[in-house]
Amino acid sequence: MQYINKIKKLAIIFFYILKIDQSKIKIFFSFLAMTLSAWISLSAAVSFQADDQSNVSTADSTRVAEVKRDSVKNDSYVLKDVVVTARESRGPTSVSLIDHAAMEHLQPSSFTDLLELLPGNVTKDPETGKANVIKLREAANASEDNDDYNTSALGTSFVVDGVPINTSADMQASLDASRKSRTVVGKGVDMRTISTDDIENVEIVRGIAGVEYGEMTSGLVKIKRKSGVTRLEARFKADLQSQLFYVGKGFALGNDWVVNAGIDYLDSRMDPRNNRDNFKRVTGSVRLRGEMDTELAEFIWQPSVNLAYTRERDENDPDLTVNNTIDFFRSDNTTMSFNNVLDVKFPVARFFQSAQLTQGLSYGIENMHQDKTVASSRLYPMPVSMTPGPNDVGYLPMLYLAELDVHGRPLTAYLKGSFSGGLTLGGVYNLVKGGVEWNMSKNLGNGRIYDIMRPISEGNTNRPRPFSDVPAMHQVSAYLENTASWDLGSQRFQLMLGLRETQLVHLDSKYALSGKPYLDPRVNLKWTLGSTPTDYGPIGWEVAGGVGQFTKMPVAAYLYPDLLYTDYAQLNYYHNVEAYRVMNVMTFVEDVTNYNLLAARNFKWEVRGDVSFRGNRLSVTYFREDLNDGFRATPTVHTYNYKVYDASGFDPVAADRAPLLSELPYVDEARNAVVSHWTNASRTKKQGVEYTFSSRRIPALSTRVTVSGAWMHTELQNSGALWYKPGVILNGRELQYVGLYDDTEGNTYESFNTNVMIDTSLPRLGLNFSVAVQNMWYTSSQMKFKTGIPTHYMGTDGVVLPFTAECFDDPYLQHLVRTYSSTAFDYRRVPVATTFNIKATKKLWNDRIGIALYVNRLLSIAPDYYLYGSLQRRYSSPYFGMEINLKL
Amino acid sequence: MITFRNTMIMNKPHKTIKLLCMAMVLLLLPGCINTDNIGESYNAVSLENIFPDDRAPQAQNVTGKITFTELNTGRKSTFALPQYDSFKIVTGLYDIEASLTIYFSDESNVLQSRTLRATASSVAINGDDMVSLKWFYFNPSSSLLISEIYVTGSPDAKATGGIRDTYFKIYNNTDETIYADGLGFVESCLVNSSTNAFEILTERNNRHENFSACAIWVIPGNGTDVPVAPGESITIVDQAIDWGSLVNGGLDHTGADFEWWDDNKQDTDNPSVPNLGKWYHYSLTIWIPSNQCNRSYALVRFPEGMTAEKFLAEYHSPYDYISALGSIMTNEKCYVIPNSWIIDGVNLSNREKWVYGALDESIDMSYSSISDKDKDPERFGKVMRRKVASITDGGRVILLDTDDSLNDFETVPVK
Repeated sequence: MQYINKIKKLAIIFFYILKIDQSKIKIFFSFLAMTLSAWISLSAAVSFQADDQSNVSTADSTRVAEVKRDSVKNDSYVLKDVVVTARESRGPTSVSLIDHAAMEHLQPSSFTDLLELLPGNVTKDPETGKANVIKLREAANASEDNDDYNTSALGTSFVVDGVPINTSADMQASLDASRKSRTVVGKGVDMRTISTDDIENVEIVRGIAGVEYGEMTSGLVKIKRKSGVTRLEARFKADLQSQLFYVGKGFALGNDWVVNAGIDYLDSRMDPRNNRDNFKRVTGSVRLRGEMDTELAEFIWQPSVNLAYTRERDENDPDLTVNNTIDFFRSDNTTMSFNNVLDVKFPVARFFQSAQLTQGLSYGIENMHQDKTVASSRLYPMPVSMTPGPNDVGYLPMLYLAELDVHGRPLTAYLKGSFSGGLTLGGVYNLVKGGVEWNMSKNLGNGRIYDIMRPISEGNTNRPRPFSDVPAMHQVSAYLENTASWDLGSQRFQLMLGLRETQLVHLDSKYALSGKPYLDPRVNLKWTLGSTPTDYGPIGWEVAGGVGQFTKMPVAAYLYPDLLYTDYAQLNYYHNVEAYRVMNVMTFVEDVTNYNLLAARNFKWEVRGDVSFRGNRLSVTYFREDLNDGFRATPTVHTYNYKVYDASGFDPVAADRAPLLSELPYVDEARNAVVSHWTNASRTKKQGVEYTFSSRRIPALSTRVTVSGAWMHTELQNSGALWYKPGVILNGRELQYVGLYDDTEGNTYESFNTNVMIDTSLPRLGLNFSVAVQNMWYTSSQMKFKTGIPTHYMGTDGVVLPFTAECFDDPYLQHLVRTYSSTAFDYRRVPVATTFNIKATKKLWNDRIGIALYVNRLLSIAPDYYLYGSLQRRYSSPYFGMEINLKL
Repeated sequence: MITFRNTMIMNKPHKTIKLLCMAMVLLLLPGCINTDNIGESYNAVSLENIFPDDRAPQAQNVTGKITFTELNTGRKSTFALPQYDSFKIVTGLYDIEASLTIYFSDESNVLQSRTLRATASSVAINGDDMVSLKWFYFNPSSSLLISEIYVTGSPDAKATGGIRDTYFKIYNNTDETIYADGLGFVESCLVNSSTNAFEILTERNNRHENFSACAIWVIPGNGTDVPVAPGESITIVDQAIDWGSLVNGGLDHTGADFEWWDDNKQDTDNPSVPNLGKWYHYSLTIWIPSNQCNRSYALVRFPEGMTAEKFLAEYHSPYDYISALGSIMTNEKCYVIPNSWIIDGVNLSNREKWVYGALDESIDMSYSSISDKDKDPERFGKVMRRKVASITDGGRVILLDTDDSLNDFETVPVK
């Protein structure tokens, strides 16, 4: 105990020095420090003791982490050791495997937290106050909030127990720009909503996924949930932002049925002091697994009922404002789903090994509600007309309470029939997989509902829209894949060849996508070379590579955009006498649908080398991806013609009425404006080297070293010429020219990191602890060079003319020339940043109780650096959490 | 208390742990050492004077004074000029203000005087040093002046911001009628705030020569349409409406002389109040004067024959600058106005953020301030108004104009 006290004191001093706000968390830290120091001393002592008894401790190991990969692949294997990091798969493409032990050690609150285990990623604090979207194989600093490059996230497919999560019908967006980051339209899956507690294991396919999976460009996240008899498990976690409860159990019903049920609750506050800005999640599911053996085949039926509910709240306290103003945002999303998987396995002797029928049905009830006191700073004319043409409009009140409801009811259905068969032909074993699938999504919601006279923001140009207007989207796909394996001497080859065909059906024939089939060929080859014998044991060699095409269809929000309402003032007459006022606008209603919108396609290839020696393994992957037609809101030029009336000759007092348009002289006016259309004009180029080294567990220390990291190089840029209209007023008029620039608008991002994790596993004590040193060696960014000189320009007459040397002197056209500073295209590099994270789990009472804690950035070393002579300082503070697990 | 299965082991922690903890503590110890060095010491500070080229010849007498104001303590040290010895100054961060009056005989042997001024801001004095002062002729204009600046607006209904009942007043400080036709009213591109402090690299945009403007409004007229009688003023407003009828405490602008009307469906146009001409604005949005009160404004008398077309063709001047982060940036949306065209100008800033203004010191050597505090939430409903210098026998008010806005302006509630 003496030592414990001393170490406790030291730890407290240590935190003092780190300048952590002592007053608030003193008690917690004393406890933390005490627990930690106890563990450190324990483990050190025990590890030396274990040296003598290493055989015993291995044999004693009570925990066996069993990871079954997709059973169809016949690739299941058993690991005798606990792995608390992501493992690189042994398959033909690059896959990170994260199993339950790794999750238990990581102590996640949502799926987002698991991503730190992928090569190239480092620990991040949870950000439950905004949507969490996935970025696979991207440089750490590649801009996340740039909506032009959402295809990368949208194109990552999440598949839960064989059923993909379909977000195509998601249209739940607010008109309030300040809440934009909380919604995920066109960004795929919000990982905040996925709880990890019922997950048995996760496969994140970074490389060339098999053709069984589609609707993706970047990668595949395959989630397999727990299935089997378990004790009653409960988990309680608390960290700086959130609390999480989970309870789940798997039990047998008779001989043939197993039921797994689990429910979890997360309550997260972005700022622990503010309970008005929070994110809550309840997910629950009941999963059945029934088995029936007949002479003909073995039937496995796995139905599940799932519920996910999230509530996001962000509101002010009206009592704290001067005039009781209200700013209330709430978003409730409930998703119910009913899934069925019927697996039929045939005796191995025949060609058909198994057939599978997968069905998914989900329905979401999404309600977003906002109340906002809007106090205008100026008097706004209020364009509210729903009909095109000239309209007289009124004025917005200076103070009002705005209400906005967004009701989304996405319904998705999924049906897939597949088979797998085995065939040996001339010494080559062929595993054949094939299937067809149908994927449907439709939003039945009433959409945005609000009083157009009281919009949520003063300058609103939007109009209410029911989402049920949007037709259902149907996608039909088929695939066929053959994996051939053969041996050649001591060498072994595995060649996976696949083709996937996909198309949208029931699409209006005006769309270029209508009936357009996409073919995705994908190839993976794994070559296991003969091992090289050495004095200390054989060295195993493996080379693998793959190349493939991936396709992601546009979502409903891209194919069926809102109508565009544009208003131009024709007569602006705000007379001092109210009765004489007129505000007449010309309303233009336009369909901004891009019927030429196509699917986004990514071309990927990779090569991997793998060396193993005495249980140590090094795996290095080089990859390249080129997505040339990502979705992007691209400016296109629209011309608007209207009349400007001159009321200066009108005497309202003499006439005792407001002026009438018909009696006023006017001039014809034409205006250019750039308007966004959804196009395929974003290019995302990725390349990089991913590496993972994992040592075997060093017996003397019961410790394993895992070194992983990546060099990532990501280029985000436009893939077509862009129109730009400088927003300047010259001599009383908007500049009426629009320039066409052939410049590459974009940036190059790079990051290079190495994470070293040293984890000690002491099964005798039920103790795992790890120290991770995460080094981000550098991140860099560079803007692509631009000349800033347009190639062409267009006036309001719509005539496109080349931009010539004379244009530089024209008082108006010269504004189309964009100037960039001499340092604008400089390469900017942020130097090394290192953090130390610790994590520990401890099992007590025959593993009935587990306690765990983690501290991220316990120590952070981020040296100051200079950028153009000015000092840049970097700060960080630790983030910690702890939890208790019960297995009763 | 948590019980471990192997409690006996806790009594024998390994030596390395002790060493590790000690090493950690040692490593972090230097962070606790207090390096503050408190004490006052006097430094000998001398001046390096840079005078304008056309310095008055054969000065017969020179008098003046120099004031050093320490920014942290507010302590002022004033010395008479000329002083041929050095000044004794305590270590600190200083604003320096100096004036010098030169008496000389003109050709007809009549004693004349001219005043020079010089300022320097945030000069760190830490040891014997030489401070360079750039002197300029101080020549208070007697013409049209910006007399009132109301840019924050009256508090809005939520009491969190200001409404756009903002206005500027242009006053005739002379004894003769002046025509305001064609008079330009311009806003700086630069923000007069230390967080935006930057150095312009483009020679043409050097503030000692030209004023870099991002919004240029012009009073319409053919030369004699907008007379401003002595002691009278014209008011330019955003929206010429009776704000009082919309928001409690709002001003009534229905009688304003001009509206700065933006051809935008979000603006209102009062037919009884003429609109200013809009020669240039860097944005398509409605022009809103600096709500945080940290830009500069100037009145411009364009040369004879200057038209919007000619001006737009010849005075477009994008500039490079070194940003607060150190990188070189470009502002591509800027026009320059030669300082010689400016008849009056006012920098807006505050004590917290002031470094220097967008205007050359000869136009405004300091700044007018709505509050000492930056982004003061209490700034709404306050107007910056020129102080009264004197009232003539005829009752005409002469406003104070020393080209030193801290001295010339006061901040008072608008109502």
